[in-house]
Amino acid sequence: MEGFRWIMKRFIKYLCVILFLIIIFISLNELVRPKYKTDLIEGSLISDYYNSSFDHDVILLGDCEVYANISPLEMYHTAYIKAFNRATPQQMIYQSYDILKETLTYEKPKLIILSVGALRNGSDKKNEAYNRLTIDNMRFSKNKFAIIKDSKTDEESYLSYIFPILRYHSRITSLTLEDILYFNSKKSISYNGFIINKDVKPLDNLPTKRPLSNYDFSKENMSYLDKIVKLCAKEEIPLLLIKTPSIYPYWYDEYDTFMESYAKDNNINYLNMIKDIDIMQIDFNSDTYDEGLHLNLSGATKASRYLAEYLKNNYSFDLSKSKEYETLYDNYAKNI
Amino acid sequence: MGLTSLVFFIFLIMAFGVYYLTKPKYRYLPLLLFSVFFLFYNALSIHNILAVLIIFMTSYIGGLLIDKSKNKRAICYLGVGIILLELIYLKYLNLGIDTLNILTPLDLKHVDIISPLGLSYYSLIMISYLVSIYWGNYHATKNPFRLACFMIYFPILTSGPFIQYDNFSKECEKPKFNKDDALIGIFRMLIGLFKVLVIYPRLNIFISAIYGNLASFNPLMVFLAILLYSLELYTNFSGSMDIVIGVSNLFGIHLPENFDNPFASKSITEFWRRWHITLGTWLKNYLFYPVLKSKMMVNLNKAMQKRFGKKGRKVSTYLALFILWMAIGIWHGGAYKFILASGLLQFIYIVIEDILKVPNKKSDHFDILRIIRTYLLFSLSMVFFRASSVAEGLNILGNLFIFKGGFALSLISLNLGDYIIMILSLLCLFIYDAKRDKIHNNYQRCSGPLKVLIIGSMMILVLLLGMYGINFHKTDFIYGRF
Repeated sequence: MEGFRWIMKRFIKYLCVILFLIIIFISLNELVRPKYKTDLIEGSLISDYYNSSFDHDVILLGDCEVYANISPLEMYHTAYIKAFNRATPQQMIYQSYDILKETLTYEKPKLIILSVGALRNGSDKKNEAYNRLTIDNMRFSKNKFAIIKDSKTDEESYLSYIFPILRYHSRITSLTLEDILYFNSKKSISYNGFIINKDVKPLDNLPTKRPLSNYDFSKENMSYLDKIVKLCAKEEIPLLLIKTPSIYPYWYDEYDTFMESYAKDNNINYLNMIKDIDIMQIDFNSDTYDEGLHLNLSGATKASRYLAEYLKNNYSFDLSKSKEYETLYDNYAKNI
Repeated sequence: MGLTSLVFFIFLIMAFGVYYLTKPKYRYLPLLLFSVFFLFYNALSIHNILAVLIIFMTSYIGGLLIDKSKNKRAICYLGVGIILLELIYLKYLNLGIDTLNILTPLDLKHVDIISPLGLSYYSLIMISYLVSIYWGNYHATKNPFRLACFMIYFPILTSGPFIQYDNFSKECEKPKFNKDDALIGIFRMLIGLFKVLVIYPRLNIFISAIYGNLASFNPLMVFLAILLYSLELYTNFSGSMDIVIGVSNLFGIHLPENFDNPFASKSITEFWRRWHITLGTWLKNYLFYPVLKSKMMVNLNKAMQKRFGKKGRKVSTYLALFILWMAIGIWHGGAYKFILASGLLQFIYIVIEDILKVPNKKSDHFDILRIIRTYLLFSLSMVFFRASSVAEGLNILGNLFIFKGGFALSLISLNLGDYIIMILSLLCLFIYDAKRDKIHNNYQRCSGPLKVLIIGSMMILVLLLGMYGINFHKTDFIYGRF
């Protein structure tokens, strides 16, 4: 009995020390991790989803063309479509796939909308800064491990995504008030994944359209697009491919033709919103904050209304008012 | 494979596991296997394999022949000659070419040779193996694997320390896992990692910014950089030594200490007894005394004594010392700047100290001034060590007397937090150095949970304050180059 008591006492001592060290380690990881709440707020987009009700009819996936151009709450206001935008900065197609898989562990939406703009991105677009903005705030799950594996550059270490201290330790000498105020903060910075930008920077010089030697999307991108199509089919969720409006001549006719044919072959819808810029009445003198590359609040409102109408006419949703969305919209309306 | 890399720690865990899963009697075999892997990791080439094999075969066969043959001296000289020739060819050929180009009208081009990892270390320890057998200190081993393990024992390949075969062989006899040894080993490794990842990079950033932009800094800042470079060198070298000793402790093999609080030295003579101790000991045993006791020196000694009396005796000692310091200078690298910095200047300091009887002064309240003087002299000599050439070294020293520039702190990519960490860490380093044995003893007396707490806290501290990862260059071990 005496021996057992001694062993237990020793075991508890070791356990306390190890627990103490783990708590300190976790706290320091949290302290040095960028908070993305007042600076580079796009890094918080991925985690804003975890604050939602996981009961959305529509989930949008894509890059900045989606979180800057499509406002889910404006879609609700237009047609009572309950959507959430899971777009993140420079979201690559393989990241969209991993984020879709994660989303499906939380809920089963009635429609998935994928922006196909990222299909243009080659592996040279792999970039640590963008990876961090998409992955850092993602919840731990097998999908987080998958997205790290798919995204990380050769120079990056896998472990640094799991233990932020390995990447951000140098921030210990340059911590700001944000790091203290938002320590372990779950505060949302977006409106269902949409970032409001009211700035106006009219289109000045439109870049010239340069012909490419090859208009094929990379094999890797296409294989992930195929995976997304298969996953949606398996889950029996309709998939809509979209190209969001932009005046920049980077979405070539060849891309458009290919996507139309791809969508037809796979029995899915494809909507090129660029073609309907005039119908949306987007004016690139007043509806853009960066000379036509992205839409500002005014432009996003027009694009979101257009998309909401399109969904209302082509898909069947429960188009009734929701108490939760009414509250969300009220809050959104106060800030627009 | 850097000593601070993740790959090294994975390698270490695997080596540790395989080592202790093997029967104690044969544990040198996995150690050899992992050492071969470490040696040729990223550097597997015929050139490197041949370089290692030539020295190994020379030492193994040479050792056995010296033991059995009547003509021991000739075989020993031949063996040492072969090893030295290889060392000179692979490391000092370009220095020879430079010298020829200076002394003759020839215009020879440098030869593109990359010397294999650890060449200087295993060349010298194998010379000591042959010479020790010749002197009858111990017998040659018939077990080639054990000798190979001694020669390329992976912890010492990057920066030493120099070991002796008889000591190593005893340590390898039947190593048992010792929890205390392992825990002190981890403690030492963490101390080393702290020096190498926390203190060294910050000093390096500070000094490199000043040395790389001398015109922008005033003489005070240049002087500060000169002073801090000694600490940069020390944190890098002694840090790697702590890691090496700690790693070796994990395998139950105790390596000799290479540093003994050198910056507390009151003279340059004392400093070199505390800095790179094993190199000093090696050169003293295998170069200085043999030269001093050689027939030529004995004759010279007699002649000088006859002519100048007692003082004449010093001539042969100084000559042997000169050879010793030149060897240290050459060992540090195939360039004149090393010969000047760690050879000639140290020789001059020591001779002056001997003439002025500096090391013989009794301890008194002027000790602190003596310590400062020693530090200053060493730091000034290391200007040439850091510079790319002797001329650049002179230019740096010249900048001490050119009053221009400012403090230009904006050119140094360190922030206030980094300076605070640097200063506090250096204070901790001095305390650790001064009380090393006491700290180790106290640590060993701690209870198990407290030891875990100390190790865990140190790990967190290194991870938090260390400069590593994607934004930083991999920590380069300065002494790995020699």
